[in-house]
Amino acid sequence: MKIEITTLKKVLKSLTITEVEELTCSECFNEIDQYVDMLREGKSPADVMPLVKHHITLCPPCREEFEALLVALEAIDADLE
Amino acid sequence: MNRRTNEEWVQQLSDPIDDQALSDLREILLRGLRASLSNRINTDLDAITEDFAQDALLKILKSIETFRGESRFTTWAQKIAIHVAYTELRRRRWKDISLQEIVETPEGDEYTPAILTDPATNPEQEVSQNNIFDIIYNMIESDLTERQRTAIIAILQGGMPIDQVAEKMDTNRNALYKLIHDARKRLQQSLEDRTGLTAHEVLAMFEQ
Repeated sequence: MKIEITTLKKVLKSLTITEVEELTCSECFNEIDQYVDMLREGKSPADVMPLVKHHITLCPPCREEFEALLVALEAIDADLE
Repeated sequence: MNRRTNEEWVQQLSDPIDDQALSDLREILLRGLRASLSNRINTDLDAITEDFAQDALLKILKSIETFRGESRFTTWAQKIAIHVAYTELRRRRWKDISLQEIVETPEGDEYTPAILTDPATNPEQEVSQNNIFDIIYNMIESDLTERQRTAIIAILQGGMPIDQVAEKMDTNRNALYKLIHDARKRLQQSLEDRTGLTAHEVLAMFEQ
């Protein structure tokens, strides 16, 4: 298997944020709507849902969907106002 | 459009379904999808979002009993629509790219380890900026299973999303996440065993 230098750096960085307990993608998905609502209400969801914050830091597809959800909800609210 | 409470949404979208509520939810999903996809899709945005909204509506109606009321109903519904849309877009983007292709064809500089022997026979080697890469390289080669190695390289090197790697490895996203999580924990421990340092300490030294 061919491994790039940048990959070795990414692996090392991923080890610095590896926790014993982590959420899977489905577990994160189950919580993300509550997390997003809290965030949009000006609360600090990362304080009460740190595992969700951790998962979206580590998992690009879940982070992508989280960011897209924020954009979508902003647009809906703008249209309804 | 009527603003509804969570209870009203759930009641009106359960049998018998209220047509106006269904139409309103469809419109909400379409607005959200158009906004979130406008930067990613250049042509046929309206037609594509219509398809995604329709697929999402079916999923929402099917799983409405699982809505726990811990968020706004529209947030819950929109997350399903976003998930439907982005999963499909990722699938289209990667469908013709094989795992082998992604794993065997690095785009950047390939790393050539200075020491090709298994460092497991040479524990506690002195750690320096120069040999950190050798240590990590050998950990990947010797401490992981073939499936763990393939998944990590496909994701971190090839940039393939985890759900697409899972599909090509005949597993699911959750199972693959657990496989990779186990791999990271194993590498984390191995790094400490081999260097006497935590990953944070190694990274800090590397970034000096």
